[in-house]
Amino acid sequence: MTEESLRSADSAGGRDLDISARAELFATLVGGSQRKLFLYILSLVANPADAEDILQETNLILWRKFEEFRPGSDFLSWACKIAYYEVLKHRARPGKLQTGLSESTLDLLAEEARQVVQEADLRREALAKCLGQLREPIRRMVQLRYQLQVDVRQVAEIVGKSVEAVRRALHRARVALLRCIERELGRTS
Amino acid sequence: MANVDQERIWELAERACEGSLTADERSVLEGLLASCPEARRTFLHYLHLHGELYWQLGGVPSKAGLTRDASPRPTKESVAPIPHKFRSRLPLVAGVVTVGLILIGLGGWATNLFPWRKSEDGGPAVIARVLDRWQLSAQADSLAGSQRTVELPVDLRPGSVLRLSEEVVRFSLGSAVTGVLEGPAVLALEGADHLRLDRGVLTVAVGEDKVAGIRIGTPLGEVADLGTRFGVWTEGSALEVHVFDGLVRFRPREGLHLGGGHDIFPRERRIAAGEALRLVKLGAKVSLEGGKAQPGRFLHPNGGAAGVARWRQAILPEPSLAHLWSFEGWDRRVKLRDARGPLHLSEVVMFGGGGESGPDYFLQGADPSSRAVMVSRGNEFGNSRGVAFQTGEVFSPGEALTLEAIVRFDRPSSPSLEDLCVLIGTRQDARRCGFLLLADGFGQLGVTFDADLPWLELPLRMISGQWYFLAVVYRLEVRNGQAGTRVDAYCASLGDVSSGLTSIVKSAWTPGWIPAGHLGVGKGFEKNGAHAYPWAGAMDEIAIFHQALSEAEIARHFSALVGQVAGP
Repeated sequence: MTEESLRSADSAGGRDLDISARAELFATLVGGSQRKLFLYILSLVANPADAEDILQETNLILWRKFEEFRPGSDFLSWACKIAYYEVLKHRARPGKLQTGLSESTLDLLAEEARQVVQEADLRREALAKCLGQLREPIRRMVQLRYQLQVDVRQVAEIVGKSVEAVRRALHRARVALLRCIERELGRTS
Repeated sequence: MANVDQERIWELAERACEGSLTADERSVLEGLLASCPEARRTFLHYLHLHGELYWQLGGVPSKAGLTRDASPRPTKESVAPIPHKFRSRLPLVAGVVTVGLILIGLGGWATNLFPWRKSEDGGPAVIARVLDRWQLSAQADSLAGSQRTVELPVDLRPGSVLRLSEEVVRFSLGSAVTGVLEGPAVLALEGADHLRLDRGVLTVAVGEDKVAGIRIGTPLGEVADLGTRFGVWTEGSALEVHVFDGLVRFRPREGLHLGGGHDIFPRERRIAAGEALRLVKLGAKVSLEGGKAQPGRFLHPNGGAAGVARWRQAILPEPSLAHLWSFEGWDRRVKLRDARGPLHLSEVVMFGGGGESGPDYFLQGADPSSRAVMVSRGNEFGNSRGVAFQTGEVFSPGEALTLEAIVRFDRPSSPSLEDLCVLIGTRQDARRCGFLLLADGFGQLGVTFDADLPWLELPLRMISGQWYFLAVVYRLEVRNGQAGTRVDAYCASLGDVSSGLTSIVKSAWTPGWIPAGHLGVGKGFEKNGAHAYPWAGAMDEIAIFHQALSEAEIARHFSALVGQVAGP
């Protein structure tokens, strides 16, 4: 499906499309926004596994409510709103929110996160450049933490360092990457 | 940002990411986040990065550095593979949607509904990529069942099986592993870190970036990389593992017993750099033997489709190619096979005996894409001692032919002008010999077809230990009523290809013509027809064309060899 056909499908209205076209439109829209939706949810819950769970649940709700989607409007914004309710539902479960942040703080963050996620593509490109600048053995720790998705304790076991040392190293790596991303974005702008 | 304690927010964000935020820290964080949008953005950017790293790197084979390619919009043709972390949950989620779609008759593309992150390029995640491919003989015909015209690179996904006939492919697995698979071979890609080699020769180089080692299952056990370069060969009930760098762990298949006793096979064995392990299963028992690693048995994974492979690819389709001895393959029979015609070789012993040793069948060739053999030549009485090769069938030269060879000359320990080192020769009787190319003990090249006359010297003295590309064109030509051979010759040192291909002889003429007969490869014949004059050095490739190639054709072959774009 091309951008053009997508736009015309949008303007034709999701409600008026036949079921096949509607499902195809949904698949395209939801497929194209998975990463940003994941980032949005993660920035509210901090834990990737929780974010995955919430993303799955959000996808289901999106499909159920797709008829309510207003064609021509911003699908990601609409999806983020639904995802936020799923975050709140998740938070209501005992001991489920890793950050333990209050609902009022989450409200503040959610509004900001919707804007931040719109910059995701630019930040991603910048990150791709910055990753190559990480030095060993930090680079190896980042790989272990994210590529193998092992927790800090396991990374520490593998690299033979203390948990605290690995945490500090990973934090330094993230900070270095953040600074690098800002530099890259500044350069681009 | 002046009023925002960025460092403190990052620190607390780190605690949040790692799930170790205390109640006090949470309180501080909430206060900071409530203070201004800039503080919230600082916090969100940290978590955003955390998520992006998780998304980008999580279990995805990367193409460059730590990153992977940008994701195109999913298309209708996309298939939806499932990232491992989603697998347990996906049936629940996708199932609900899929069932709904099936009910409305749309199940056919249900997999398109959730094009998870690993399917963004369409189809199951690409775990490997065929980078180069080259034939070993004219019989090579397939790459995973496809035809020769398959375009590279070829993406491979979990479950792909490489079935090779007489060809070699070089592939990458993720960003840190390179492998070379030599046919006949069957290699299944079971996952990003797990291969199964049922048959063939596989060499693997694992880069330092590779975090988790790769495992290679074989019929006799599993080979696991512990940061290394190593080779595995398996055929029927035999297995060899050679380690060149680093360390490899070998775990035998369950239930294997060592021969000659009732010991249970050791549960695990580590093979260090420079070591090799050989297993042969006979009935229910397995014999186990350690030894030294032999790099010459394996092609180097980082060599690529280097010059010799490209040269071979360039000449194999040519109708005028009559015979090709490339000396590739794992066993002696395959190595001595004519890859184009019927003139297969067998070992022959010089009339003075075999000397100290036999031929060396596993030498690194002129580049990493190729292997070479070296006939043996006695330290004393070298003209009459040694072991070399001869065709089983008779060779008929016709009225024109071209010889192309990639060879190395190794000067004998006590060289003399009396030494004869024949690369290719036939003989009919005491006078009529067909020494297409020979050298004296100092590497001075020549041609002779009449044993009673001086050689036709080619103005090239080969430097000992250096690889050369040599091309000689022979035409039957009568001059002044006498039958003779017109010779045109070209050479290039592969140690310095910048000097290019040089024409060293143009239209030289020497009496006599190549007689039909068994062809000596890496040797000649004594006056009485006995095997003699073994070559001193290594032979990577030898090709015979049944017509006189033009200078342009030879230059084109040379261009393939050295990777230049052929001229008009």
